[in-house]
Formats: sequence, structure tokens, C-alpha cells
Amino acid sequence: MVNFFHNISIHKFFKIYLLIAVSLPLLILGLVGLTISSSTLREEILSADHRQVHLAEYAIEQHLQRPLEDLEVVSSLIHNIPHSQVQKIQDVIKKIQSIHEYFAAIQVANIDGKIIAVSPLNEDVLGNDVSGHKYFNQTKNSTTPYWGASFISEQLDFPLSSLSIKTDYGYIVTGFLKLDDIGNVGYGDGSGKRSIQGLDKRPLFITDQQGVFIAHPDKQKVMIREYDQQYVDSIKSWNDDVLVDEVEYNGRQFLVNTVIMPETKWKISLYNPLENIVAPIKKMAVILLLLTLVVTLAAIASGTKLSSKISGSFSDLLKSIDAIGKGKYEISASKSNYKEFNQLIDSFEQMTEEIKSREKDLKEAESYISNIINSMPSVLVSVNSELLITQWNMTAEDETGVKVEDAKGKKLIDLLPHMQSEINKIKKSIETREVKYSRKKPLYYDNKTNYEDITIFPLIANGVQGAVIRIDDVTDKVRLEEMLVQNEKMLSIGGLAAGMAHEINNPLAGMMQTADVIQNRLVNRIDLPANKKAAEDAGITTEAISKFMQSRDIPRMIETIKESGKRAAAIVNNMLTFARKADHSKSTVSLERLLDDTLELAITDYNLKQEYDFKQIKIIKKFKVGLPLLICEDTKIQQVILNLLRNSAQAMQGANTPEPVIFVRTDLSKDKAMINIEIEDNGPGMDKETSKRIFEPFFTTKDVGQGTGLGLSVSYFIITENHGGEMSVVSNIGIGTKFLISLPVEGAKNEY
Amino acid sequence: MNTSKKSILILDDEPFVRDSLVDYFEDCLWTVFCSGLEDEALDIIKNNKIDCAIVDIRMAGIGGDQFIREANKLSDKIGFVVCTGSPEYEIPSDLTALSNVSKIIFSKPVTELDKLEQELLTLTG
Repeated sequence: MVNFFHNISIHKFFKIYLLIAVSLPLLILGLVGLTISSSTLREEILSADHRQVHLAEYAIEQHLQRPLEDLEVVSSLIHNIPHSQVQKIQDVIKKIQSIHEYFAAIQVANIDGKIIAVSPLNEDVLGNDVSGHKYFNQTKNSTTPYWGASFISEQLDFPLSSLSIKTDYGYIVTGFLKLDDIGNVGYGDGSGKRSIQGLDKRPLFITDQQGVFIAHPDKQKVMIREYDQQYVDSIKSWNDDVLVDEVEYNGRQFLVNTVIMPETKWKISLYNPLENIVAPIKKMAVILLLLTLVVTLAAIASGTKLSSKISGSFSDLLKSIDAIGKGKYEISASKSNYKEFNQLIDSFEQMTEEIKSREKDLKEAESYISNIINSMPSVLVSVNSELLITQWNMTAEDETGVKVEDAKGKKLIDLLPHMQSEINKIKKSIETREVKYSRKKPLYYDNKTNYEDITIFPLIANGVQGAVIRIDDVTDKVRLEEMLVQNEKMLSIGGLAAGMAHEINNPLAGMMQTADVIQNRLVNRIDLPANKKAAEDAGITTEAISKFMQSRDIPRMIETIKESGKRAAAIVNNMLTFARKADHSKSTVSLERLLDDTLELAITDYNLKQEYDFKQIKIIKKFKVGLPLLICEDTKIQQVILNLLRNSAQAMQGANTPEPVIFVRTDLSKDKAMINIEIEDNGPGMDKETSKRIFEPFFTTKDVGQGTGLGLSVSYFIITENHGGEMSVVSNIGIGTKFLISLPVEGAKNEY
Repeated sequence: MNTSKKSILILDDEPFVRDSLVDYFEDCLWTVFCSGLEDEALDIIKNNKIDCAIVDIRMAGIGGDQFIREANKLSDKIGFVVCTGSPEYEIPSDLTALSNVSKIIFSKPVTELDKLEQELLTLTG
């Protein structure tokens, strides 16, 4: 069922309510009253008409009684006058006719139908035979008076009707009754004066027994003597008493009452125009409508006033509710005269206080949670099922530069385009309610590749559809992992190298120390007592032995053995230093010394498999004189430099560079805070794309299995992260590659 | 050159290394004892007057460090010098605490034997 009063204003409600409650019943009552009254009025009018038509009948009957009496007087006066005394008869009728002048003429015919007297006297008429006339024959054979049909008197120019009676002596007395005023007779007592009020508008229609008008409001109708079929039709369903009907006559509607006079068989009809009835009903309807209108307007006015009064009390309260909706807890509604309204205000105040308190709690909780979310180092973004952003934490703001208020409602991929590849995972996660992961996802921007771990948590509480996406920058972690792998490798190589060094050092010691003893015995301390004794036993002198040794260049040879041994020992030592377990301790070192050691190490780094040999490469050193000592992890820096040298050697060897050269330069920055190292070769160089990606973890241009040294990403990590320095590369194809390293003299500010 | 006969024990399991040192110190007129085994060397100390000893570290027996501890128990007058081929070796703290143990580690190969002799002389006073 439709609720018509849903969300309706009080004003409107009262108006409609009063309209329905007051005006509608009033209108219905009015209409019922109108119907009843119009019906009653019709009955009353009909009843009045009914009375009137009977009155008219009575009046006409009375009017016709007198002429009849006059004829009866004539009859009584002449009945004993013999036929021979016609003059007497003539005198009687003349007298009677002149007394009342009811009749236009009175004639007396004998039993044969011959007119024997007539008044006024007319010689032409006297002697005429009327035995063929209907009125004569009817009267002759009857004892009652006979009313003849009407006709128009040519002389008098109005209708007449014959009334005949038969006398005892067989005379037929006929009076030609004037009907010129018969219409007016119906309104009164026959004198022509109207004695009944208010009937002038209700004309009487009278016809004779033949249906010819003898009275009609339009006199022409009487004079033309036409049989009025329309009239006859209009009253044809009458009964003996009174016909009550509504008929159309001459294009108008009438209520008609008709009576038939028993003697004359005349029909008297009272035609009452229908507008006479409709007019008062119309008037009543207009009054009713006006009344309804007035009442309706009054209802609307009082409804408006009442609703204004009530809604006025509410308006302040509504303002307060609106204000609370906007977060302003000030109640401006004042108490009114209505108890219920005051109770409402009290309840509302109480509710406001509770909302205030709850909102405070909620804000605190929200702030607490928000703080937690914002303090997370990860980018945290929540999305709804349409992948529109609903939450955006501080880290997300920092990473993207988009404020939370701008981010909310935006599409995820509009703000984080690289999440495009994760869309299906997010949808799947929401659908299956499973946590989804993307590990170490490479993200290339700003000329470098970063790595991200993406975790998608579906939101499963309270039927909320969506997901929380956590994005962690794991670039450093990835580099560290790679470095750890490399470190593990170096450690195992280091451990192996240490064992090998011991094994090499022992035979070296046997060789070199023995060479030292030989040198002592044959060169430096030839006059040792044991030497002398041995020489004597051999029959020679120590001087001769010494001379022999000198002449055969033995001392130089011994020296050569010792020097070669020393060099071997130095190489082993250097290798050990490089490969020894990293302890992360920084020391103050001379960069020049460090570079020399590294170069020396590199020169021994002959690799058969990779077919590069430092002996083929010309090393050009250009070291800045007077560089300050450097605080660094020397072995780490050595690793980096060695790695660069190896890469250069390998690249040049691979490209068959005709005269391979490696430049090693050092310099001090202008502010003397940084020491710059350049390692440059004239090798094949690399394209820009490779240059951009050269420091990425796991990026290599080498074939599988060829990457023996540290990756450049680890080198980059050591320089930038461990030492707070900078590392970059400049390269041109066919010209060469130059790596630039800057290290702070004071060491990195933040210890790794 | 010190002509007074001082005695030295050379403990090294590498025969060539041991021999080179024996030859050197004999040339320098030391009374030289030598062994490649720690137990045998301890017996030598027990049975002879030893002024100082050159001790290798990585050996098959109780090792150089433990040998010094054991030998020191027999005689705390003996000066000990460590001579090792292990590049990462460090003298344990209990031994550095002893005044008759040299703080200098001589790495093999010893390229300047005269400096080794000098250290021994310093230790033995």
C-alpha cells in the first residue's frame, strides 16, 4: 500500500488532513443534501402544480356551471311555451343572453332540428336546419347537457363552444359559449381576476375534447385551430387523475400536470418550466460550493496556522539537529508551551550529550588506529570492491605526493599505476577471501629499479567488500640479500684461501728460510767456524769459496730466490687480507696504498676460463698527492675496486680492445669532504639502457656462470649505503666506460 | 754475536722449516734442540736446560698454544716465540699475559731470521 503521507511536511499534512477531514465530508453532505432537497423541491413543486391544476379545473367547472344554469333557466322558461309563440321564446333567450353574456349566441331548435329562435336575432339563421349537426343529435338523444367541439367565430374572432340541453317539450337549446377568456378563468374564480399568486409563469394549456387548443399562452395557437400532435404526444400517457411527467415542448423542458374535465372532456395542463426547479437547486449548489470553498479556505488557513505553530516549535530543534549533523553540539531550541515538545527537547539534549561522548570516544579510537596506520613504514591502501580508494596512509602520501583527501574515491590504478598488474590478484583476493602476495616485484622509475613486496589482505568483517593493500619497498632488502649471498661466497673462498695460505706459507718458509741460511753460509757469514772447519776438511779456504761464489753470481741468485719468495708471500698475504672474514670495522687507510694493493691483487687475477689477463692491460695511475686518510672498511672498498677492474678487463678482453688501458685516478672534492676515485677503461662501453640498469640487483650482461665477482648492485650498496658515498657510471659505446666513486673523508655518518 | 752458548728448542712439524731454523741457529752458535712433536719437545724440556723456544701453532698434537702452557708449567724461564703459517692467528690472552711469551708473531716465511734471533735474545735477557 502506498503511504501518501510519506515524508510530507507538517504544513502539507495539516492542509491535506483538514481538507479530507472537513471539506470533503462537507462537500459530500452538501451533495447528498442537494440531491435530497432537489428531489423534495421537485416533489413540492409538482404537488403545488397538482393543486394548481385542480384549482384551475375547479375554477373552469365553476365558470361553466353558470352558463349551464342560464341554459337551464332558458329551458325552464320556454318548456311550456307553444311552438306558435316563437316570439316569447325569442324574448327569453334574448334576455338570458344579455344578462351574463356568457354566450355569444343562444339558439333554440325544435325537435326536427329547425332553428326557431336565436339571440342575437339573425334572420339568416332562423329556419336553418341543424338536424345534421352532431351537437343536435347528441343532445336530442340524451338527457344530459352536451358540450360540443370548439370552433372559431368568424364574427367574434375567438373560439366558441356549443353547450346544448334538451327541454321537456323537445326544444334543443344551444348556447355558444365564449372561450376567449377561458385561459384566465383557470387562474381565478371566473371573474378574470387572478386570485392565486405566483402562477403567472406557469401557463395553462386547455384543449377541447378534439385536442384543439382553446387556451394557450400563445393565442395564435388557439386561432389556427390545429390539432397539436406534439401536445397530444406529450400527454398521451396520462391517467384519469393527474398526469405527472417531464416533457419537452417547443425545445424546452417542462414538468406537466394534466387533468381531464369529466363533463367537457377538456384537458387542462399546467406547464411548469424545469428551470423553475433547477434554478433554486443551482442556487443551492452554488451556495454549497461557495460554502465548501469558504470552509476549505478556512481549513487551509487554520491548518497553516496550526502547522506553523507546531513546526515553529520544531524549527529551532531542527536547526539544532542539523548543527549536530555538522558536528556542532549547541542546542538552540527553547522550551515551548507544549509538554510533549519539552519532553522531546529534554530527550534530545540527553541524546546529544551521549552522541558527543560517543563521538569523542570514536574520534580517539579513530585517531589511535589512524596513528598506527600512519606510523607504518609500509604504504597501506584500502580499496572497495570497485577498486576505489577508501584509505590512504601517510606513507602512501609521502610516496605519491597525493593527500589522503584527494586520494579517497579515486581509482587505485590512477594513483598507483604500477598496481595494474595486481588488479586480478586484488579481485581474486576479495572474491576468495584469501591473502595474496607478490614478492620482490620490480618497479622501474626515475632511472632505477626498486623492488616491492605487495600483500593483499581481503576485508572480511561485517560484510564489507574490499581489500587492504600493503606495499613495502624492499629494494635495500633485495640488495642486502644479494650481498649476503655474495658474502657467503666470499667467506667460503676466504676460508679456503686461509687454509691454502697456510699450506703455501710452509713450503715457502722452508725454501726462503733455507735460502737465508745458504746466504749466511756462502755470502754474509762465510767465516763461520763451521764453514772454516768444512773448508779445511775439503782442502780449500773460505776465501776461495767466497771468490768462487762471487764469480758465479751465486749471491744474486740467492737474492732472487729470496725476492721471489717474498713476492709469493706478499701475494698470499694480500689474498688473505682480501678474503678474510669481514668484521665491518672501519679503519683509517691510505687510499693510495689501498689502490696499489688492489691493483697488485688484480694483476695476479689471471683467469684462464674467462681469458683475461691483467698483464695485457696497461694500468695508468694518476693519484692526487696529499690526499687525507680515508675512514672506511678497506676490504669492502677493495672488493668494489677489484670488481670494477675485473669488469673492465673482462669487457676489454671480450671486445678485443687493441691497446687496453685502465686509468685509475684519485682526487679531492672542492670542499675537501669527499675523495673521488675514477676507474676508466677504453673498452667497448655500453648503451644508455644498460648504463641505467647496471646497478640493479641481478642485472647482468654476462653469460650465465661468468659473474664471479660482486654484482655492481652490491658495489653500489657498499659505496652508497655502507659508506655514505656516491657511485655512478658514464659510458659511450666504442669509447669506454668510466665509474665514478665518491667517498666521504670522515666516513659515513650513519653506521650500517 | 752472542758467543755464550744459549740453548733453543725448535718445535715445527714441517721438516724443511724446522731444518732451516736448526741450520740458522747452529750457524749462530746456539745449542739447538728440535722436534716435530709436542710431547717429544716437552720431554726435551724436561731433560735439558732450554733458554728459549720457537713454536709452530698448527700441528697434529696438542698444538702450539697448549704446548707453551704445558712447557711453561715445566719451566717459566723459557722464552717463547710463535712462528706460524696461519695468517689469521692471534696469541691467546692467557699467553700474552706471560712475560716470557713474545708479543710478536713471526709469520712464515720468516724473511728476516736475524730479527727472530734478536727477539729471542731479548726474551732470554
